Amino acid sequence: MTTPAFDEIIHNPVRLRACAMLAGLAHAAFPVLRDELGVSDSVLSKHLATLEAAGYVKLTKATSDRRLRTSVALTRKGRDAYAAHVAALQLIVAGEATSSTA
Amino acid sequence: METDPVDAQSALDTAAAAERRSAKIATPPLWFDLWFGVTCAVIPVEAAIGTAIAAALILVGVECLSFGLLLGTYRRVTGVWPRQLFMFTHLRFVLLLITLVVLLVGAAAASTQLAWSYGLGWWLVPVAVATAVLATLLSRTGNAMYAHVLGAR
Repeated sequence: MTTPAFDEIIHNPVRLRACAMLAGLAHAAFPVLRDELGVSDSVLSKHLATLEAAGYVKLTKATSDRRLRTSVALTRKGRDAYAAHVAALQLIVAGEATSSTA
Repeated sequence: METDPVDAQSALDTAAAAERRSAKIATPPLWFDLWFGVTCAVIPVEAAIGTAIAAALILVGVECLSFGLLLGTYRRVTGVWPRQLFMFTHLRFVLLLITLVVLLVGAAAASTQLAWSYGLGWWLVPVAVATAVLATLLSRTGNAMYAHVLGAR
C-alpha cells in the first residue's frame, strides 16, 4: 500500500511526465525521453539533474558505436516517490469530488 | 518554481497519458513477434536432429544468436528496455508463459518421437511452421497484455 505524499520535485510538469514514462520501463535512452517530452537536451538535462540530486533517477553513460549514449532509469526511491505522488494527487481529486458532492 | 503548477486532475491526466505513451513505445512491434516465432521454430528442428550432436549444437548457437540479436535490435529501435517483472503478478501472463513452455517442450518431444519413427523428413516443415505460428501468436498476445497492463496503470 502506497502512502500518499505530495512531492514538489516530481510535480513539475516535465519531471512528472519523465517519471510517468520511466515508471513502466527499466530504462530509456536520453533521446527517446527528450523527443517524447518535447524539450531540448539542455532542458531535459537540467530536470534530470534535479531528479538525480533527489536520488530519483540514475543516469548511465555508455559508449556504443563510438558514441556516448545516456540511459535514464527511475531508482527504487524514485518509483516509490512517484507512486506516492500519484496517490497524493488521487487523494486531492477524491477530496475535491467529496467536498463538491457534500 | 520553474514552471506553473498544474492542478491535481490535470497532473493525473498528464501522468496517465505519459504512462500510456511509454507503454506504446515499449510494446514490441509485429516484427519482434515474427522473429521470436521463427527463432522458436528452431527448437523442434534441434530436437529432431538431436542425434547429430554437432548439427544440433550449431542450431542451438544460431538460436541463442537470434534471440540476442532480437533483443539488441528491439533495444536499438525502441530506445527503451521494458520492466516486465511486475507482469509475473498477473495470472494470465504467467499462464501464457506456461503455455509457451508447454508448446516448445511439446514440439520438441513430438519432433524427437517422429524422428525416431520416420527419420528426418518433410514432416519437420509443418511441425516447425506450426511452432512458429503458435509462438508468434503467444508472443503477440503477451505483448498486447503487457501494453494493456502498463498503459492502464
